[in-house]
Amino acid sequence: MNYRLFLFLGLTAIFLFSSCGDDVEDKVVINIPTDDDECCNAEETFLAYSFLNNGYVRELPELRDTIDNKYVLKAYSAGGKLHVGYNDLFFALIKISTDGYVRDFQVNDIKPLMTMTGMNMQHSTPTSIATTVYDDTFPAVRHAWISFLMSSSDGGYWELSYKAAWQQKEIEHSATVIEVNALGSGQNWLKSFKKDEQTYYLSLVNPNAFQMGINTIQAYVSKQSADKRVPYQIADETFTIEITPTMPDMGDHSSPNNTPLIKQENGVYEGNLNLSMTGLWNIHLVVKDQEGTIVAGDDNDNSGYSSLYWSVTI
Amino acid sequence: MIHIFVCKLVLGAGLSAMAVPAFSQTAQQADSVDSKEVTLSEVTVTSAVGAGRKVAGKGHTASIEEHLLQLNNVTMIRRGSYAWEPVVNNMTTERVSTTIDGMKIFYACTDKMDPVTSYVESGNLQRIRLDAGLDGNPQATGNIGGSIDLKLRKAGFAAKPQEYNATAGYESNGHLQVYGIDAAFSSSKIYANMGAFYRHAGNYKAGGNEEVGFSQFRKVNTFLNLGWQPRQNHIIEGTVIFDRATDVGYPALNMDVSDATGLITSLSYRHEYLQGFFSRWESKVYYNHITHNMDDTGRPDVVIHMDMPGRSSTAGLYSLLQGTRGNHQFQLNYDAYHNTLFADMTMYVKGAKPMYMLTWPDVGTINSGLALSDDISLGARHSLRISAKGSWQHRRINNDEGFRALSIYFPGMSRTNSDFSGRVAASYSYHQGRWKFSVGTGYGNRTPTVTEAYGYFLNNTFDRYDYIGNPALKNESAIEVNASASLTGNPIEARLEVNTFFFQNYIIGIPDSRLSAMTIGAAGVKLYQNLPSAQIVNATVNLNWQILRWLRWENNIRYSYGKENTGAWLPLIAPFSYQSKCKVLWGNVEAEVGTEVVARQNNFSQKYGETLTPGYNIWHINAGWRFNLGKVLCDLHVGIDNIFDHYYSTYSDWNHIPQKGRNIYTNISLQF
Repeated sequence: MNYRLFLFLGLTAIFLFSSCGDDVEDKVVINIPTDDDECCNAEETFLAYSFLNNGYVRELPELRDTIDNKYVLKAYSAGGKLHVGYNDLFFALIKISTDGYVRDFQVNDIKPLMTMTGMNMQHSTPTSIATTVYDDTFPAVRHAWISFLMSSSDGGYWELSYKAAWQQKEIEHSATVIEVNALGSGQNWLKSFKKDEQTYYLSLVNPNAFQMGINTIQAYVSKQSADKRVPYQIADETFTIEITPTMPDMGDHSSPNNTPLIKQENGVYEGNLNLSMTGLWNIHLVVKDQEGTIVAGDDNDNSGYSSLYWSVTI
Repeated sequence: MIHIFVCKLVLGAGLSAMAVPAFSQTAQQADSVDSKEVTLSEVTVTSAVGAGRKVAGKGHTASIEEHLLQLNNVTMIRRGSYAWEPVVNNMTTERVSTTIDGMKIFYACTDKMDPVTSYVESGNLQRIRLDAGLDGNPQATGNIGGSIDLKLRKAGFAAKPQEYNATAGYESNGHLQVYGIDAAFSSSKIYANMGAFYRHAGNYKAGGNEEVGFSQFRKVNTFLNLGWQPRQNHIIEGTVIFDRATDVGYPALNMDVSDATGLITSLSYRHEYLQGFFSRWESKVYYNHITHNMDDTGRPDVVIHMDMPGRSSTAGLYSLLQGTRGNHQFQLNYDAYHNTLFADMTMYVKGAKPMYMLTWPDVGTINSGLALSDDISLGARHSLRISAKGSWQHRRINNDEGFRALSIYFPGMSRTNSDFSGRVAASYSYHQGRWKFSVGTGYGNRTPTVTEAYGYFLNNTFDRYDYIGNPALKNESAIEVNASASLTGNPIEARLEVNTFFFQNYIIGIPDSRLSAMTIGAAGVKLYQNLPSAQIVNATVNLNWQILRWLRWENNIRYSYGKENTGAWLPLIAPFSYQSKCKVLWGNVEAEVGTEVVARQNNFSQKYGETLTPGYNIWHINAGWRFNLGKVLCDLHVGIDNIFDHYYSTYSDWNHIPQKGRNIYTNISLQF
């Protein structure tokens, strides 16, 4: 039987019955070939397929690789593009013979590297290095992030390499050139500060999703590696990041009730950002260590707020 | 409260003949039930209609605002030469109900550039009725200060079979031109009247020939009234008014208006002379829609260009039963309406994404109320009136973005709000010969307006603060106490009237230093809050002397007072004023010379951003002549306002923009 047709019918059944309430859903029989234990079940497949084909994410073809010519590993990002600042990366391993999504694979050692040709130097950038399951309901998609320090240009190019592992098989995707675009004006999502001669990077997660009103926002604090060519990992230290949003075009109009970014168990910083209207916002930052001592952002600019700020335009 | 002032707009002598039959059959019916112990104060806009009536020199060409100003309790907030905001008993729009023939209508501009009186034209109206205080008209809600009902002019059945009118006016100051034509057709079964008006003015000049920039306006208004009486006393009536103002300047504000358009429609059924408990039944369904677009493209040095459109639409109905039994005259009214208000603001910065916010987050209001009143005659000398209304209101913020934005300032706020509000009032009158004494009291409350509850960064150029609504506001309530004594007859007429309003939870903007202003240059942000208490007192004295059969001297003194709980003065409270007029009525000629003396506003409210307004004294003179030109009846008026070209502004001129300097005007009305 044509597997694709089979999959389609299965997905359609899931789609139809899942909307009819729990009683019916329990009774649906999903015929997944028994010899395909490595792949996700139909529901997980459907969810993974929906996520990867919803038009929001697109494949980055330059990062594609294969395992034994039986499996193809695909990488995705928002719009199939990469830009300066925080980027989500998604990976999926697809069985070529059935188009099924494989579960329990690993992607790690993600290494972005900038070669600055004119200056004859190389450096990496804040990265999550290893992947985690993006969403427990569809374990076929793994997630990583990279926060690019700069864009690709005549003066330098980015390359990216990673390792993938699946059922004792390991492959290495050797460095391929990737294109990193500059952000539009009014967008600056990556900032750095120095403490004790150590450089830290503050990556704001996905400001494109911000909207008018109360936003729960996330950020990462990464530490520059001693060898700059090694990806910059999440800093072990714990900070508190106080935020004050202002609108430079509206006389530095601000908003109340913002809450500082506090480090969560999984290493991400989380807090509330209130944006009272759309337009350009500067999010002024004051970084404090665990003792409450200001380590960055104590010098104010013309706005009267910290000169360390992200810019977002919503 | 116990005094109804009716400003009867018998518009131009030419129209009076047409209007009167209509009045006799429609409006008078309604009024007969309303004949509470009142003092009817009529302002007639025509000449030669008889002694004892006030004369408005501009006749047919006067604007609605100029007509309203003839009323004792009314003043005007002026932001330009167009669309003034009526203030009743020193209370502005929030505390005043305005209806058109009982129809609810709400302005669409967050900056109050379009009080609803600006969407009708004098030519649409027969009269304006003002019920001061809490004893409002049956359809009024939230009327602590008073309720204004604009009564439409309908030809009526069995009037003159056909009649045509034309009017034209010119004012030298600002080159104001007014043109109007209308026609009326009437039979016992059917009537129709329709008309069109056009007003156009350039910038006016203040005293001393100083041009006031951005004070121009243009306005077109058309109306159609149809009536059908399929069976005796069963009457179906329909009304359509279309009104559009364009290129309206507001010198007191930072923006002008490119267009303000109102469409007002209604369909009603009346059954007159019912047998039984009720003698009259009237029901009406209506719909009106307003769009309002602000515009700053004409202004120089605009830092950030803005678009600020607003929309208001209201659909509603009311059903009114009136009856007489024994010494009782009573009425019962049910009304309901649904209104939506939407306004947003887009700011354009060069090279950046436009900034956007919702200033009224598409707020839907459903309001439903039941009103009743009874006039009880207790013998020849005593009478009593009671009235009450209860309304239930439900509001919802329909726009997600707007709701999310407001949630920043009020975390966890509810998207919907339901409230009950009501009013009760009672008054007692005693007659003794030429004397009449009245006392009255009332209690009522009002729900916050959409601006007060959900307004979002509305910049007020008066105190230079950005205002944010407060969804947690309590209803504002007031106790009213009033008393009057009057002497009628010849040759001296006198009247003293005092009313006092004791507010609880008075709603006003209070600075919140935690919040940052949005408007560049704003002094800060004010949040609407409930003050524990406030008090407003108004006192009026009228003294008229009929010196000779043809000569009359009228005097009017007004004093007001307003304080909040800390002892600070309330803003926009009128200073002491004295008006005096000498009127001549001789055959077909009438004339008037008068002065207005207004004291320095000593009690200005520094706390609420008011600055001192100096006193002033101005003089006016006008004359009218009625004559026949063949079969055409003509009315001609000429007059001069501010004769000595004095430079002044009133306490209620927004940002102290100056009033018109010397203004010479003339107008003519023709009736065919």
